[in-house]
Amino acid sequence: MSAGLNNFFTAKRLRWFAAAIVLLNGFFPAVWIFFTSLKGEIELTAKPITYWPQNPVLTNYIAAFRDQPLPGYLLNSAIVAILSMLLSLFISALAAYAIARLNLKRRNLILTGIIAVSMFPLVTLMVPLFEIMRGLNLLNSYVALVLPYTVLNLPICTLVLVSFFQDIPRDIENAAMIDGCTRMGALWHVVMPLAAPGVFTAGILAFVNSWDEFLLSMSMNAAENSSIGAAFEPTTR
Amino acid sequence: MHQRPQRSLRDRILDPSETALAWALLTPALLFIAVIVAYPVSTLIINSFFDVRLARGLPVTFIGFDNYAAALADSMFWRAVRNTLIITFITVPGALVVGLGLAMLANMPFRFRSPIRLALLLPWALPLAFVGLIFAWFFHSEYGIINDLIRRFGGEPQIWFNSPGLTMMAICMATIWKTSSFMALILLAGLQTIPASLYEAAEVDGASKWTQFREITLPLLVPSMLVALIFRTLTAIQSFDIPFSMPGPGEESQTLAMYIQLNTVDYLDLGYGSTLAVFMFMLSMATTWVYLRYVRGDKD
Repeated sequence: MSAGLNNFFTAKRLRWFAAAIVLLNGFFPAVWIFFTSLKGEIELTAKPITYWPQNPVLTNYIAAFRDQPLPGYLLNSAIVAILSMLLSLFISALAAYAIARLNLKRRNLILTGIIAVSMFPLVTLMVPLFEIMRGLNLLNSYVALVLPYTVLNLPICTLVLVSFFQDIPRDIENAAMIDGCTRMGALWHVVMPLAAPGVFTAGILAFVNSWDEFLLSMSMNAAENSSIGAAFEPTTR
Repeated sequence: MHQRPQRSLRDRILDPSETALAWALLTPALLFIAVIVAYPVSTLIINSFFDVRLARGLPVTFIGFDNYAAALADSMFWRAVRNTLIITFITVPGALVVGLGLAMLANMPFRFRSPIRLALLLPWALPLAFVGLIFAWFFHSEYGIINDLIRRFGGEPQIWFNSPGLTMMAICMATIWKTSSFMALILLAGLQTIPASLYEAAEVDGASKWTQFREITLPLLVPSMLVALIFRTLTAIQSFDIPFSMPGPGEESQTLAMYIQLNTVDYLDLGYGSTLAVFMFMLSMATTWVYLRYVRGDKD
């Protein structure tokens, strides 16, 4: 790097530069879509395209709230995503602790088995899942989505937590156990807080995975009497 | 001879052996997987040996490996595999490099961290199908921002979705944008576990920033990188939403997952769809196997 460039990239400027890149990369498409949402029909197809909405209108938003039950959809998504996030964090924390820490033969095989879950595209699991949920009379319920999402989140949560648990020195939890903590107590009071960045990461990944999901939620919430074919109605995106 | 004292049932429940405890802790996860994945997957594998076409109705007939032979002779299948592999080989390393860059930028000591974190999270939080729609709009030949920028800089605007090559390029760019934040998120968590004292020591020894990156950051990031790479590769093999929302001419840019969906959902040919899914599973299995050879079991 030349001296000139080095001068330009003083620590402070470099940080501003870095912030600009990260912010632009993250926000640009969302901001662009927000601007687009404020454009009326004529402006949307204007040439040359406008960068800033010239005549901002709220018609698109009014349509979304009046013609579509948008708040209800959002609430449903939030409930399902939060429940499956909590459930998968709990289940995978237990499993990850067993794999990372406890005396267990074939831990790699077990980990592979859990990871193998994410090798199956949802498209192919949908027909059997639909039939299971119909058999259990759980169609149109949160459970029908929470259970599959929980399982789909297990691989990522478990793998993230295993790698974080392994990075925590064993001495710390041994010390806690000498001080009278049970193993589970040590996991809850010592290991989990130390693995907080990992728990947080896993939680976010799980939440967003469930929040993203679309195909399954569509088929599981099909009306009881509709056929499987109708549940698979082509998705308009 | 030393007699091992007999432990009461109460003792064994309250203070189980480590192995027993380990299995107890694994039980909920394994139980869930058995019901939600193992059963559907076995149904899937069984279906792949049958001629199951819902449109034609029951009964289904056992046809052995006919579905598999049909797939191997199916040019649409091979094109879907090729497209899937192209997306995987471009977007996985692409997302790793961009994600590492973003993670390191975001790891700088900013005073206002939350907007940076939000910027990192946002692409990951936007649903895939939605990202596909946004980028399809970006690449729109008439109203897209990409062509507008090309025009402003005096270039030749492209009709992106008219050519398979350009479509794949647009798909890959959208995918890298969307998935690099997932990489960045995991790598950032990994970066934060690297003790600052290591860098201070290297600084005292006079190591350049590049040497510090090569000798400290990269090696210590390997575990988080492997985690991120495994999942990114598996999701790349299953690419569906983004290519689906950014269709090229005909079915030129179809991925394996799209072809499975087409056969299962549109043609209701569950047998052939299941067979294709088995191929996808084998692809994923091979990938995971390669990665896991690099993941050690225990650190100590």
